[in-house]
Amino acid sequence: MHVELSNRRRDVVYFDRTRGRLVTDIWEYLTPDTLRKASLAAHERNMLLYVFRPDQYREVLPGLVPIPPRSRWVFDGRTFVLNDMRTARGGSPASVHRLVLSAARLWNAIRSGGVAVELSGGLDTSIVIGILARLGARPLLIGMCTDRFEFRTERTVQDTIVRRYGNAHLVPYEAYLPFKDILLTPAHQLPSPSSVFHAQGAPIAALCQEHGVSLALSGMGLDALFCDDMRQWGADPVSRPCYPWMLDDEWFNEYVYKPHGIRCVSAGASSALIRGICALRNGLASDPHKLWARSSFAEFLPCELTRFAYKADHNGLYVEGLQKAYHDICELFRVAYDVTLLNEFSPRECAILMRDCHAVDDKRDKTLLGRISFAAWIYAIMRDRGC
Amino acid sequence: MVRMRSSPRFALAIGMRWNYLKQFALPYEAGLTWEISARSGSLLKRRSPLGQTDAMPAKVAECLRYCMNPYLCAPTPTANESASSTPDELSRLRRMYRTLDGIGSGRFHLSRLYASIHHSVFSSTNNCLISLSFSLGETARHHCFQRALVAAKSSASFLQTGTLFVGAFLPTVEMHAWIIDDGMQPDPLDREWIHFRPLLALYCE
Repeated sequence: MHVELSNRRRDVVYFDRTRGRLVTDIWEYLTPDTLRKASLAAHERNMLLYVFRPDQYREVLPGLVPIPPRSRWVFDGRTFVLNDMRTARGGSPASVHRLVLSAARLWNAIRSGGVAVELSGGLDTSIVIGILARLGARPLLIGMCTDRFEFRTERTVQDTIVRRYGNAHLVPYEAYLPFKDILLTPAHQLPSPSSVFHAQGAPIAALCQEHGVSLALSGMGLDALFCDDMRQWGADPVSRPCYPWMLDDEWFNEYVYKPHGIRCVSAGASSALIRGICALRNGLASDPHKLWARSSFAEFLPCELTRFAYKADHNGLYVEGLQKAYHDICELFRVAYDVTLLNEFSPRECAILMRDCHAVDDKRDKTLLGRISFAAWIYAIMRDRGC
Repeated sequence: MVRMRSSPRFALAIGMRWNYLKQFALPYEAGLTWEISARSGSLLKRRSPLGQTDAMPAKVAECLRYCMNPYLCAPTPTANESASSTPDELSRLRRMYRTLDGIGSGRFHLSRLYASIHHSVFSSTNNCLISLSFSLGETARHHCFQRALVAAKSSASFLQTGTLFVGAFLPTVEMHAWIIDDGMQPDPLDREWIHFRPLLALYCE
């Protein structure tokens, strides 16, 4: 068997392995019977490994595999192989100056529509904003802010950037915690951990619409480019995050932004930029504090981000959101249990997992996130079906 | 002779001095009042509001300023930038750390008392903490309270300008201990301190 799969769309499409063809959506497959057969274990595994690609994907629904946007694959009956060496080959001559020139070309291509850039107060988005400012751009700055203690370093940077460039609209984190409105999660085709944060996308989308923005740039995926150990890829170009589709899972685009006529993409989602950064970081070891990026882009950054490597921890928001959504989560588990009859969604399991949710426990938190996102997927589909 | 060696006066006579680590409570009110017990080191919450508090010592106030705005801190020198330590200094550090580890985090007040017997081995807290990491590696990395107390016990600069903070990452129950000394957070391995709200300060007068 040899099937060539080409997704030229900007959206995820799906390969129906049993019929050997691509389909643009799988809504017709999502019946209570199919949901009953869905694999929680596969979802948890995909989530833990941040799998976006079919060659690593474990099937949640038997025979259905998501194909990332703008990607090409070959299926030989058992495995998927990336069929797009074009973007993996080569590397631009390495310099920050050439990278900025690439950014300038991209900016000129998109500037005619309304553009917004995420202002998180973190390093990645600050680099994007700083480079655009150097190019004379003043896009709308959007994002979330909070006066929570652990975010004071991000807030300082946000305030600095707003003072410099203005034109910022920030919404309060406290009003849009993780797990907020979990029972109103938009129905989606495959479970995703992004879904538990859906409430955070709505006010951003509304802001963009209000200001005539059609394209929002985020910092999603830039972590991988700035932090990963570049030595590990060696001669295997497929492993490198050289493809724009590797930077984001597209969930927010498809279910939150697209209904508002807005597209949200990673600011690094350009083959030229990705190749440029990979070339600059060629041979460098893992850099969890992004010291290389802080030094290389220092001229575009506030001094706080070059002299220090502080980074806020989102666990506090996460725990508070979890505590406030306790009853909604119990309801999710109840419906998921009714549909799947899986013990993992029994009332007893729910109580055990939620009992000490204020204590940070990495393994328990990942289990909880996997089950909640799976249950939210089932709940949303059953809700929209009127079941 | 054995009796002389175990005498506190004899111990204090060989370069140690008693310098009690005083406490200053920094309770935080947000619906509930969060605080850390100065006796047990436990994180507590209560419904009653904050009562009247004593005036904050100047040293604690100065160090707290750096906790509230970490960008005011001087960059923390790394191992390459700090002075190296002698085998004798490393040996003393290891002994102090092992004693504190033996006392355990569960005996908060006893740990404080032990750390109050000050023995200046290092001139700076930064040098002390780097030496501790070098000496004990990953073993010491996760015992933040013991690390901080060893530094408070053995750093000359801590006596002058340092404050040890114990804090919590609310609303989780994660706790952490760290030092602010001479306008910096002196432990280059500690990247988490900024997440924790200080609820208790320990300092020497």
